[in-house]
Amino acid sequence: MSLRSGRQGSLRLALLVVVGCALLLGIIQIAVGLGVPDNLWAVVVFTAAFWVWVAAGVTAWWRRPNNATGALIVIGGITVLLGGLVNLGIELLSVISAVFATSVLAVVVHLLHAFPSGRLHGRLSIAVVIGSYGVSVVLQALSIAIRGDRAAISALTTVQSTLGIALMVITVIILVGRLRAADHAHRKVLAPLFLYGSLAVLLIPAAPLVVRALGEPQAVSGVIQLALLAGLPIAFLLGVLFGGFRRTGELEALAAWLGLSGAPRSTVERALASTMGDDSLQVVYWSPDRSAFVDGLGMPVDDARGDAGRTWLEVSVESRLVGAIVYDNRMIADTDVVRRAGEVLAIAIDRERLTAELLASNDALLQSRLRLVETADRERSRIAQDLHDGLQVQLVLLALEAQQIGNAPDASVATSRAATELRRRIDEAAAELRRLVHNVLPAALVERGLSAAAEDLVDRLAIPATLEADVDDDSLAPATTHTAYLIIAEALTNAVKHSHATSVRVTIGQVGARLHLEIADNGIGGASYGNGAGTGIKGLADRVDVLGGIFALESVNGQGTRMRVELPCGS
Amino acid sequence: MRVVIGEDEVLLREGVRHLLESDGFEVVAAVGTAVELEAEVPRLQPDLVVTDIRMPPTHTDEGLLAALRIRRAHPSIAVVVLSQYVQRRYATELLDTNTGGVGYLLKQRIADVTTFTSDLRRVAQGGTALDPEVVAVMVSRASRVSDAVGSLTPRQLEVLGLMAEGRSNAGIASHLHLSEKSVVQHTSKIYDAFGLPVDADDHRRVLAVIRFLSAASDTGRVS
Repeated sequence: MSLRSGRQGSLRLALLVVVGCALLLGIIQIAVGLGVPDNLWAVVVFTAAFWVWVAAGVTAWWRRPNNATGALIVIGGITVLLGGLVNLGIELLSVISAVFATSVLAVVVHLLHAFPSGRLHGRLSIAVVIGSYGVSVVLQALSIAIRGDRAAISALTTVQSTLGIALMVITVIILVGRLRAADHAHRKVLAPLFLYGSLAVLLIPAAPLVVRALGEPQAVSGVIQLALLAGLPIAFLLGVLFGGFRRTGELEALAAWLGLSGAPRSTVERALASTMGDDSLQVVYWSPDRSAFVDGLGMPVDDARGDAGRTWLEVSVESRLVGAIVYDNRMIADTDVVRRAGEVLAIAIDRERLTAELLASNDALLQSRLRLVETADRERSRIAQDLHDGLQVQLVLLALEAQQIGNAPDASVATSRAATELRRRIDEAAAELRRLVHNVLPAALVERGLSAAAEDLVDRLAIPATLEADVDDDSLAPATTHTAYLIIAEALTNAVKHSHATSVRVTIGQVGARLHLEIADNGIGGASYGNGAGTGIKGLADRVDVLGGIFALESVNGQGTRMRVELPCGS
Repeated sequence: MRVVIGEDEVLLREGVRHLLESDGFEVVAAVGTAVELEAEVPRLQPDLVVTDIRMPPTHTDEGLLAALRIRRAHPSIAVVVLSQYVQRRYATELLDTNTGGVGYLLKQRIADVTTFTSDLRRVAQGGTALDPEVVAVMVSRASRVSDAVGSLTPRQLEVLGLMAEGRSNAGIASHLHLSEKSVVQHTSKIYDAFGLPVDADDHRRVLAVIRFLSAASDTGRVS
C-alpha cells in the first residue's frame, strides 16, 4: 500500500528548505567565528549541536508528518543556535543570546510533556510548559534589563532556580503518572527517555556548580553540558521512530486507497490504528436497533467511557450516528486529526456497521431458532409429564372405582355389568391417551434415551426392521436426542406409508462429538421435500439445520430411500 | 401374603393398598421412592414387591432398576413392575433372570381388579405376568421374522400370546372359551414349531416360550 500524495511532496520541499537554512546559518556562524579565534572551538561545538538538533528534528518531522515532535526538536535546535551566539562577541547578538541562554531547557520540558504525540494535553502540562518558557526567557530578559543591580540579579537568579526546580518536580510527578498508566511495551520506551530528559534539564544548569565543587576545570562543565544537550534530540528522535508509534500517513491518501480497494471488514480499524499510531485504536459501530455500540462481529461493546485514558469520538453520516473511534488519548493528543479521519472514514464505517448489524441479526436469528426448538421440546416434555402425572393416574383411579362398584357384594347383576363396561371404556380411553402421550414424548426417550426409544419404534413397526445402535445416550443434549428421535420416527413412518418398503434398517452411531443417523428402506424411492412425506421431512431438515447438523436425503425412484443425518452430540 | 408397594403418586399408592388389602393381601409398607423401596424390602422380606418404574428423584427408570436389583439379591421375593407404557426391552431385562416371579404390567391393568390380583398371586408363586400389549409387540415381531412363529395359525398365535402373558392352560381355556384339552393340543403344536421339549410345569413352560419369542423378536444390536 502506498500513501504518497501531493502534500507529502510539499512537506519534503519545506524540510529541504529548513535543512538548507540550518546549514547556511551554521556556516555563516563558523565563518564569523573565525574572527574570534579564542572562542572558535565554542562556536564550532555550538554549531555542531545546532546541526544535530535540526537533523534529528527534520528526520522526525519527515518520518512522522502528523507528529509535532519533529517541529519541536527543530525549534530546540534554533534555541541552541541562539544560546551559542554569545560566543561570536557581537554586542547585539550577545544580548539576544543571553535572553535565550536557557530556553533550550524549556523546549526539553515541552518535549517531555508533549511526548509521544508532540502535542500537549492536560492543563497542568500546558501550565508547566508555559511556566518553563516564562522562567527561561522572560525572567532571563528581565535579568538582562537589570544587569547593573547585583543584589537584584542575585535575588532574580534565586527566584529563577527555585521556580525552575519546582517546575521540574511537577514535571517528574506528571511523567511518573504517565509511566504508571502506560502499558509495558510503551513504558520501556518512555522510562529511559523521561529519565534522561529530566536529568538533562537538572544537570545542564547545575553542571558548572558540580564541576566547580569537584575542583575540575571549567571547560569540563562545558563539555558535559553540550554532550547532554546534543544527546537529547537523538533520544527523542529514537523515541518517536522506534517507540511503537507507527508511521503516520496522509488521510487523503488513505481515503483514496480505501475507496479503491473496497476496504474489507475491520480494514478501517487496522488502517486507522496504523495511521494514527495507536495500536489500541478501536472502531465500534452504532446499532440503532439495540441502542448500543457493537464491534465488527456485532457483539456488544463495553461502553467504558469512564476510562480517562480512552477517548470516544463519535462518527456521524449526515447527522446520523454510525459509530465511534475509541483511542488512547495518551498516544493521540489531537482530537481534530481523529475527527477528520472519522469524517473521511464515516462512509466506510457506516458500511462496516451495516455488516456488523447483519452479522448480529443473523446470529440472533440462529439463537432464536434454537430457542424455539428448545422451547418446543421443553413444552413437549412438560405436556407429557403433566399427562403422565395427572390424567393417566386419574383414569387408572376412575377405572378402579368403576370396577370396585361393580365388584361390591351388594351390587345387582345389572349394576355390576354396567360398571365393568364403564371400566372397560375408561381403559380404552386410557389406551388412547397412552398413544397420545407416546406421540408427544415417548416414555423410553425420557427413561432411557435415544437407543431405547429407537428400539421401541422399531419393535412396533409393521414391517421387518433392524436397528444398530452404538451411542452413549447420556452424552447427547436434549435437543439432539429429540431431533434424532423425531427423524427416526418420521423416516420409519414414511418407509411404511409412502415408500411401501418391506424392510428398513436404522443405524445410530457416534463419531467423536457427532451423532450419525441412517435410515434406509427398500421401498419405491422418489421421496423429496415436495411430495406427500415432504412437509415432515422439511420440518426435520430445518430442525437439523438449527442444531448445526447435516441432512441428506437420497431417494431415487425404484431404489429405496436413504436418509442420512449428522448432528452435534452436545448443544 | 406380605406386599411392599412402591408408587410416588399418593392417590394411586393408597388406591393399590386399599385394593390389595380388601383382596386379602397384607401391605407391610407403601413407599414413594425407589431408594425407600430398596431400604424397606431387605428389612421386611415381603413375598411380593409391586413398584412403579418412574419415581423420584430422576423420574426415569429407577423403579425398574430397583426391581432388577431386588430380584438378584433376593430370589425368593417376587416383583411386579407397573408402568404407564410398556416396552419389549424392559420385559426382556426382567425375564433375563431366567426365573419366574416377575411381572410387567400396564398401570391401567390395576382397574381390572380380579385379573390384576390373580396375576399378582401367580407371580408371587413363581409364575410370570406380562402385559398383553408388550406380548403383542413380541409376537407380532417374531411372526414377521421367525418362520416358526409365522407358521402358526391365528388361533395358535392367540394361545401363544396368552401363554406368554403367563396364563395356565386352564386360564387360557376359560379366556378363549375352549376346552383345556384343545388348549393342550394348541400348545403342543406350538412346542413342536419352536422345537421346545414339552414341560409339564406351567411356569417353566411359559419361560421357555417367552425366551423363544424374545430371541425371535429381537430387532438388532443395541449397545
